[in-house]
Amino acid sequence: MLDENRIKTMTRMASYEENEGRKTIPIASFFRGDYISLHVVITVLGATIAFAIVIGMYVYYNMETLIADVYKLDLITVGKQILKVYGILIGVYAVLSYIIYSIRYDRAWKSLHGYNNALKKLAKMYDDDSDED
Amino acid sequence: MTALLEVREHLKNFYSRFDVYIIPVLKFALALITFMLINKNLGFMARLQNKGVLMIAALLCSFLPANVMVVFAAAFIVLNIYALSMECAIVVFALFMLMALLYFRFSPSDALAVLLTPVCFMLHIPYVVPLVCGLVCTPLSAISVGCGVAVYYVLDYVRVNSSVLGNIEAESAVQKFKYVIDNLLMGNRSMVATAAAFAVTIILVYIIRRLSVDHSWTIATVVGAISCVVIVLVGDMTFDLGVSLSGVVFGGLVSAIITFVLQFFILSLDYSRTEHLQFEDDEYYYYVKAVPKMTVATPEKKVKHINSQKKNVSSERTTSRNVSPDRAKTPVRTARPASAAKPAAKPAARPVGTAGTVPQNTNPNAEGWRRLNSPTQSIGGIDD
Repeated sequence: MLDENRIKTMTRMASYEENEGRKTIPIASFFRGDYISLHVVITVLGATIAFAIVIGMYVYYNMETLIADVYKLDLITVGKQILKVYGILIGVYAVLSYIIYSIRYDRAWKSLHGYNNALKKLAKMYDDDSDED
Repeated sequence: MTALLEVREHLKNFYSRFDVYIIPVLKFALALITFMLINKNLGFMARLQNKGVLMIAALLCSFLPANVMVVFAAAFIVLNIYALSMECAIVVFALFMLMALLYFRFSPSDALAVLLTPVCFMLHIPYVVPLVCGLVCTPLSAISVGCGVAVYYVLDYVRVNSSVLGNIEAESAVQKFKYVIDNLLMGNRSMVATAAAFAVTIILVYIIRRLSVDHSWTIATVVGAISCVVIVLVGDMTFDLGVSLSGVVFGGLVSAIITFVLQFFILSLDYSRTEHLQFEDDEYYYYVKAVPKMTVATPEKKVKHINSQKKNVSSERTTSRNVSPDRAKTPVRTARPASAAKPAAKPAARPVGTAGTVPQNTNPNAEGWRRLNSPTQSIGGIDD
């Protein structure tokens, strides 16, 4: 027999899953630490690729000068400078991504609070039904 | 004004009813326009000129996420430029990669602004973008719009200098690369001036529209349009960019008008009914300014049902009036079919008996269902 309250709850849940839940439910399937660290790692990888592109373009742009002055260059100092810039870039991006994804995770859980309540309510309805049977 | 509000409500209702079909159609149209504009301005690769390729790509974009459209557009641009000059294509590809890796990784939804900015430039309404972004987005969208401006100016440079770029007389690939970088990115002052103008406009519009003053959105639009035009003209005078004064002023005016139209659909408030409230709880004292939204109830179609039983009887009576006097003397026989039809007509006749019209919202759950089917349903509706 159709239970009007159950149908209402399930419809609301389906509506949430179709709209806002599309973003929040996958986020909530992670532990907080896992979610944030995964995205920090991906961001660091992305920033590394971006840095490599910029360095590659810089080297290609100044290829003639670099080839001419390669014997005059202090390669260790240059290497240290590059690493320093890379470290700063990675540090900034890691901190940024940590902050951004922490906020996103917390917001997703806050948003899922109502959905979880609805799930509990639905489970209780099914329990009540099975008790009656 | 009431008529306009009614039209708006009708459009909203229409959109909420058919959004399943409207969204893919709009995405298809946007994708097709974008790809056609790219081909029109950079049609260097013959294979991409094929209408079938464009249609298939646009069809794919219509049901895939919106960011796929951006990826397709970027691919079309790089392939077209590759057909002209490999060095140029490498630079543009590197530019797109840097944008994707350094910014759009965090804010993928903003990627659409990168697409819309060049499209609005090509449609000669570029100032709409900073005005609308300032009204509906955050100041961070200045970065997305800045990227969009960079994309447009790179494409414009390639389009204008295609004959030069295609026949660079350089000894080596390195020199070609250097020439492209120097002219495409470093020496493009118009790009810097326009990006700065757009960024300042977005921030200004955002700050003004959040002020607690009446007509803040309208003031923000007007001030934003004026500031954008002024900054572009100052940039023109400083760097000698060669922009047309009338073009900039007319573009600013048209963009402001388009923004007003969009603003009407996004948010229109009735400041004449503003209420100022003050109250307190245990921890705070509240000064609240409440401005009601302009709304108008859409006229609902009233369907008048004619009671089938009465209809039958009346039709019988009409018939009986038209028949010969002999047959009219037999009322029992004429009434019989009407009584026979009564059980079948009963369910349809039930609501009519009370008011003569279909009762609106007699079902207490009707409002709830309508709310549930709304696309803007939030989790607040789930909360107990």
